[in-house]
Amino acid sequence: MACLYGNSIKAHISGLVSDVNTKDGAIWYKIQVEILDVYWFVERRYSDFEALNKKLVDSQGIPRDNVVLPPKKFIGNKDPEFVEKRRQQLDEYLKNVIQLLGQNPPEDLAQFLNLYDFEVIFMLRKLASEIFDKGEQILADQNAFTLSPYQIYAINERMKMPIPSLDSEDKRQDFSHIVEFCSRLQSLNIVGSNISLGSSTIVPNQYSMSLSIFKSIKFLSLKLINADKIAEVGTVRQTVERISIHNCDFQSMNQFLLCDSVYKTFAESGLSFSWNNVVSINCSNNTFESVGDIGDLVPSLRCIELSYNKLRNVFNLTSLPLLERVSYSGNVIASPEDLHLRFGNIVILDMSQNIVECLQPFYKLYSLVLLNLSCNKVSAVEQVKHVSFLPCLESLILTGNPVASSVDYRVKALSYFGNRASSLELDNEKANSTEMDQISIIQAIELAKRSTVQGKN
Amino acid sequence: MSGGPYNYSYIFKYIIIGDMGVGKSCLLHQFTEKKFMADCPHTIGVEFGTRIIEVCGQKIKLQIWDTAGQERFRAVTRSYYRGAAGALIIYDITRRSTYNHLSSWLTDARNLTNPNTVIFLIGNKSDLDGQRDVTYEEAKKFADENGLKFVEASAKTGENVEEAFLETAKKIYESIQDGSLDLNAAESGVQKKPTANGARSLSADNAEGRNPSSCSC
Repeated sequence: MACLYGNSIKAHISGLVSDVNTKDGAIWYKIQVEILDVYWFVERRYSDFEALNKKLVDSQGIPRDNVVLPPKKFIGNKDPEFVEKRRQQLDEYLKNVIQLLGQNPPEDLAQFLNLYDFEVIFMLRKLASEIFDKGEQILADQNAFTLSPYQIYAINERMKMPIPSLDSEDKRQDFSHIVEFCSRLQSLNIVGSNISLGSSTIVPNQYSMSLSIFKSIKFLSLKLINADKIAEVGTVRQTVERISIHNCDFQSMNQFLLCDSVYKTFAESGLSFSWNNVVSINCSNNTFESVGDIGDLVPSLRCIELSYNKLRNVFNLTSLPLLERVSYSGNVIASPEDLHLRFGNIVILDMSQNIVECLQPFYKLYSLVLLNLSCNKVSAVEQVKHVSFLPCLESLILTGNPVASSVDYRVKALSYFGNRASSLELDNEKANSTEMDQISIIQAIELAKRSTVQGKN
Repeated sequence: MSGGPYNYSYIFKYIIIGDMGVGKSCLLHQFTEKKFMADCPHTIGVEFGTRIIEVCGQKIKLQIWDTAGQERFRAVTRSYYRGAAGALIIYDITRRSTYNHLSSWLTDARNLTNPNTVIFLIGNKSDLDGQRDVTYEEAKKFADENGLKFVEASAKTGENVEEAFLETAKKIYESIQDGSLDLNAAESGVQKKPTANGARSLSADNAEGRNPSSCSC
């Protein structure tokens, strides 16, 4: 963590004018700024040094004995020998400035060294004034606010530091504004990254977060977050209603729901780890191989989206009494076992883009209204018979299956539904009158066949 | 100056201090949530609460820092005194030791806050009158001698909780009105809402803030 204050007094900035870099004809000096184990680069020209020096002269009583900016030179200032000499002089100058002012850098120096982008205290001052100006609008509109793990980590650490919440002249930079905003925010996006921040060595996903500062979150979205970096969930567990997790490296839903528990199952961790108000979970586009026994952890869940993971099986969600909508789209499920033993009274089931061949497992999902099986491997039209007795079914989608291109597919498939054939939507379309005529004929023939068989008996 | 999402005119910063277990977090919770929090965990470092109140027709946002009573967090909590417009010092009427420590809390508060900080003394747990260890009169005398406002309150029943927070705000507002509190001072603990364009114009705001208005309180 880049922090000037806090747990270690050893924290200091060492600005080194290393490499001399020529771009657009001008001479740029590359400065390496270091705090503890972190460093970043800043590129500045002589004129930037000059501007900084002028501000410091006005505000900080520079020049002093050894803090003197090397003088300006108009002719021959790109001569390599001269540049090298100046580089050394500026290096000396910067070191002296930092020795003098580095403990508590004034705004101008902080800006010169890009502290506002990387250093905890300055970064949070900048965030505080942004929030002071825009926070109320965001809260009033109930818009989402995005933070990175590094920012949340910084806020957590700042809470522990013995520094006043307002440590600058500008009241907009008061840390209280951040904490207040976080405590009232309803919709939070946390977007991680495994790539280092700007020119620094700060990798946001290295930092672990406590969400305990957030007291009113209803919608929580995580993107590109490392599974082991959520150290504490806090009151979010009680307040959150909708969760979305994308492109994170969780292996299962349980791993997230119990991320701050030492136990890995509900049975061990107990009731206090339940997410009682969660009604919807969207965890598409992750690498889940398992859902886990989430039932007791999210007892109010109505909707779960598990699309585009690596799931091979349909998991047991029967302990979720309110579950209505489930999506397993885009996984690798081949032959699910009897699904009525996996779900309670679900209404919408999306199993598109899997490798299902057989519809037999669906035959007892009596509450099902919409079944989406597009882009699977169903090839025999007879399979439709298995779902034809589902009493509530209103829509069946089989597009993109081999069966959908077979001869008389619609007519044959619909004919299994008896007198409901006219009200059922197959592939988002009800039967037209021509199809209805054909269906009636097929059904009449079926009936005749059956009565002959019965007659013979 | 009205309109926009800003449903407040000022921000006042408060700090709540006092011995461990006197009910600081519970008082805050009762004030912000209007609920009693049983089994309140020990505060680690600092906690935070916020609520918008109305004083003399002005909407005021309170940003309240709730501090840990434990000695080991003293360094962190001390840093939050600076820049507080109001300080609530809490003791527990059923535990004399928490009352005996008041003078050290008060010294801290006086030394670390600004001279205009309104200090309010609250004797918490007034619902437990049967176990009383500190009389009302005694505490009232202490408060008067030290120029503090004082009530006995109960975070459990909510008695006097609202009053204590509002009284403090009223006193702060009065010192803004009579000009004794300089809004521009970094440590005043009072801030105006952002101006419409988000620009900094604290001095202009201040002139307006100092106008003696028709406040009837």
